[in-house]
Amino acid sequence: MWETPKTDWVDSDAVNFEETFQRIEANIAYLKYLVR
Amino acid sequence: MAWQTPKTDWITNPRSPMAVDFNRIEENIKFIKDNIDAKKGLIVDAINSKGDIVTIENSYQELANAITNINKNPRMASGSGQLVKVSDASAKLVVTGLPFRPARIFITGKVRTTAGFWYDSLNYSYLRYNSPYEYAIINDAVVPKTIEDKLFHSGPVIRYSFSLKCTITRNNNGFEALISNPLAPPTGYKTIIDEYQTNYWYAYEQEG
Repeated sequence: MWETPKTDWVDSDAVNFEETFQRIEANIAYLKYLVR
Repeated sequence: MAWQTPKTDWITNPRSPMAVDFNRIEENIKFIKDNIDAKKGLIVDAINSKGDIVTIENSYQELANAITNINKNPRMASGSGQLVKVSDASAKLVVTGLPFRPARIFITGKVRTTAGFWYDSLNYSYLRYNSPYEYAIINDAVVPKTIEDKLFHSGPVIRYSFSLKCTITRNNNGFEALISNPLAPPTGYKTIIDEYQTNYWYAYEQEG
């Protein structure tokens, strides 16, 4: 399932692995699905 | 949003990731997604112009299968219609509203048309002899190519061999079939087509 990428990062934003990396990797997995 | 060159030297140039890195990564992900939507979407839209068959989430193999399937299964349509007079010696069948551009077209119909003119020596004028013409149009050719008819008059039997001509113009949602009699009348006289009967038509999409 596609999740809208966060493209307004500022250095003070906290990186929440469960949210940030989950979104990034899930979106990459979805892209892989679309180009299969 | 433009593509940004990924940083691929994290091993040789290590540092803590910053906002600019996360923005680049997520913007590049969005860039690829937008490109897939746009470019794969072109293929999806082209396939779906033949009917709603696929979505952006179908695999490329499934898109290829859909194209193959479309090519093997051209659409067809059929119907009936009346000829519309274009001139004394021509009339046309107009078909619109098809969801495809027809490739192969078959038509059957019947008209009365001029078989020929014979000279009436008592009245010093030509008389026109009209005869029925039952036709089929197969791959743009009129069948039968010619019709034979005989006029029994007070004098010798007059034999006529006459023909019809058909020109089909195709467009993206139908076609026009112009049926005409190519017979050239004597000066001052007219060749006619009239008494149109219902035309039945079948149209097939291009295969492959």
